[in-house]
Amino acid sequence: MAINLEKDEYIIFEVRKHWFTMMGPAIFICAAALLPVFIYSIFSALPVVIESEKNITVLFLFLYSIWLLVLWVIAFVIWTDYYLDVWIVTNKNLIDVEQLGVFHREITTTRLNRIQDINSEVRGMFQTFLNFGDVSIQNAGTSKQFIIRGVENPANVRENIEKAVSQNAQSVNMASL
Amino acid sequence: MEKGALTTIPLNVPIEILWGILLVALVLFSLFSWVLVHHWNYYGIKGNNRIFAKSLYFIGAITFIVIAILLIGSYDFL
Repeated sequence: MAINLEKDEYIIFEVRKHWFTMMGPAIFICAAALLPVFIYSIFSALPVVIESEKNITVLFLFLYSIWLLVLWVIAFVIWTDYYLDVWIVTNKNLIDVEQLGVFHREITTTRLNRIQDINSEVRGMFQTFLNFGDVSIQNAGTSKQFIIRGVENPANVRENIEKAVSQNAQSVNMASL
Repeated sequence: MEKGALTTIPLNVPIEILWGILLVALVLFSLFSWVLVHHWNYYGIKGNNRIFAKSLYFIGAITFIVIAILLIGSYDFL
């Protein structure tokens, strides 16, 4: 685990993106997988004969299997990117982990007591029916906004973060007494 | 070259080129697999999800690699 928590810090919950956010890449991968078959069938219909001592169909199938291997790896890179993009809400902090491709990872931490505004937004037909949307957080003293896009049940996420913020405020007050 | 209405394209790809393509693909596959497995192990993909992801990834990839090798093997004969 690459997230280092403080001594008395524990994870309350994690927020991940809705599976529907993967639909675009999934359709792209499927289309890319079918593309060579489509090109081959168009090529077969053309008045062209390939003259070769070797088996051209085997050559095509070989290149197709390599193409599928490449797409297979790309699909898992996209899934890893999706899976590792997460908000971790602890009893003290909100940790925003952003996986931007396989070689770029950003982790930003904000104290719960510095959170000012929490907004959830559901936009459009798919988001409304499948109940997913964006959650954004405004941090006190900085212009930086934390945004996680396409989370499942954003209203519930907002409420849970608000609950964590108020529990954190209570525990800080208790400690200061 | 024209044969009636048909256009004929000569295409003779030596088998060594196919092995070369496979080798490049294997090198890239190894590199990306190492990076992916590192991410899955180190950045907290949990228990069963990790085992499932690894199994699915390697079973699929090895299937494509084996098919590619078998096709190279049959390239000269079929």
